[in-house]
Amino acid sequence: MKMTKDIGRIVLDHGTGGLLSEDLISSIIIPRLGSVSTGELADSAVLDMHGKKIAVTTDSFSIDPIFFGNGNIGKVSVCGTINDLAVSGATPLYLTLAFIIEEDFPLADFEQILDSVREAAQEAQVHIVAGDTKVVGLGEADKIFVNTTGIGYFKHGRTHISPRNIRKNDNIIVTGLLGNHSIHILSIREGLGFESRVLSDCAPLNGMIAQVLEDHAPDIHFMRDLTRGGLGSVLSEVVALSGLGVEITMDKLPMQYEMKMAADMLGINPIYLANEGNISMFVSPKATNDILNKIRQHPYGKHASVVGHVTDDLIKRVIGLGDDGQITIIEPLYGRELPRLC
Amino acid sequence: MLEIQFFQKIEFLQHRLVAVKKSVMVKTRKVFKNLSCLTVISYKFKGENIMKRCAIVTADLQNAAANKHAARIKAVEAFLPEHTEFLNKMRAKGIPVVHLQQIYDPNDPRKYKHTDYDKKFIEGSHEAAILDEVCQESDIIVQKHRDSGFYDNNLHDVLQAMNVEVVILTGMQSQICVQTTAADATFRGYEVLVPSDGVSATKPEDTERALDWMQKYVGTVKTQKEIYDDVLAGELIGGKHT
Repeated sequence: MKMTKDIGRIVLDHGTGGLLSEDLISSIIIPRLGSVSTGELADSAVLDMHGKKIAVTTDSFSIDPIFFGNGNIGKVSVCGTINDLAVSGATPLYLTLAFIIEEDFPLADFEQILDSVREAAQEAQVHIVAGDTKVVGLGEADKIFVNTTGIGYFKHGRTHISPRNIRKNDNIIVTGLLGNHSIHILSIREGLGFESRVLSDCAPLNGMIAQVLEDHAPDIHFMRDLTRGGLGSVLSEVVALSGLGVEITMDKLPMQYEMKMAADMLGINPIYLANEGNISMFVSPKATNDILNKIRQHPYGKHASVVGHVTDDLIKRVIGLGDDGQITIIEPLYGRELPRLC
Repeated sequence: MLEIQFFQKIEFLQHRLVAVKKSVMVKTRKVFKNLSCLTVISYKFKGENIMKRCAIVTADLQNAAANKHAARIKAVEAFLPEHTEFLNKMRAKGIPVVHLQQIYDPNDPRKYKHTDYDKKFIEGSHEAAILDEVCQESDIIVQKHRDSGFYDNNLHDVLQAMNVEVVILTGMQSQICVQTTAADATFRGYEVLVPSDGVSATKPEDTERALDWMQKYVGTVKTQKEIYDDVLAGELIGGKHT
């Protein structure tokens, strides 16, 4: 398996959230930055501001196509960053918004993107407090790229949500249908015929997460949004960071029938597909039912399901159990399952 | 007595997603309502032949596509003579033939869709034209710019105008344009029939996999002869304007 230093240049696989993305950060970026970087690689950085903890995160978006059935790059850019803050347990407060726009980009399209940014920010109850616009020549960027940075605070000082807090026997909840965003985007891009049946799940999940944290914060040990690399990559990362194993039941994974059809047609595993409104939660067994019921009451959580649990078996791997007892080892994703989905 | 064919569930088996297809005979509406199923594929009264209006939709049987490279030429030569005969026999029985014609879109936002090969499919060119062997004056040509034959064009309108219920999908390539058009047709409410010997791909294994998928999820795979026999038996009749 060729890693970053063997390849010697940046390739598309470096940007897809798999092993190669991780290798770029750990073997090149962090060492190069040295002492100016904290070296923490969580969804959000937890920072001390004169005794108060705040969360900061940043993300860039290059989705293709920029407009899709039920959203556009503006909505994804807000929701992606909001969700990164929310899964760290923070309450999102502020966003920055920066554009790199290709010359000749239609103003009407830009306005439509801004409208989506406004609507998503209103729903998430955040304010946009700073921004930047750069324009590059024709062919120097693909239409429009967006960067958002988010700042949030920790209600009641709750900063316990971390892979280090995951315990043996914790149950794993997935809050939404897996793979829909990826299949929707790919289907629109290539005209595969699934785009009207399988819609993107893109949504700001801070409201749903806040409701659950309100009553069950101590029982929620870790959360992670299932974006690039999907559930498979998140679970692999959890195993690496926690030193524990994970066992999931394949037929408990929430998936839409048509999404499965498309994934099977394309020969791709939905477990690695990117989502934009779907998270995993690692929760204590005693509170699992209450948490699950609460999530299901929220419109963005109605398909939530307990998909597995944490183990301390000798084999520290992600294991998928089929309903016929068959065992599958879910390996970390090396590079791209599909590029430019967010 | 009503025979209902349906997908009962989707499951993982040996690393693959498998759709479980079943059929039951029911006597009352109550049983029908209580069926535990994902999607009803078809239903008919036992012993009754329900005539369904159909049309053949061919995918990308065009000069540039058929002559892309040596392996493609060989694959097309292997299936085209019998398929041409099938089309002729079906036309003679009043079954309309619609050809999907891939056309190059200079404004396609996908930057990787402007290769020299893509540009051969320019509207009005010989390269983009439907193969002479399969195209008759009575046929209908519908242009498309994406894999699915229904994407952002008038294919659905054309079929609806002829009251088509069953789409017989043929052409190439099996695992791309035929397969995606089959999915799209199903989502739009058409019954899909795919002749296993009426579709083609450069690699035979791609056709095999595509046929497996279509049989599992969206349609029925038969031979051209079996489909023609359905026409002779009066189960399929040609789509027609009313």
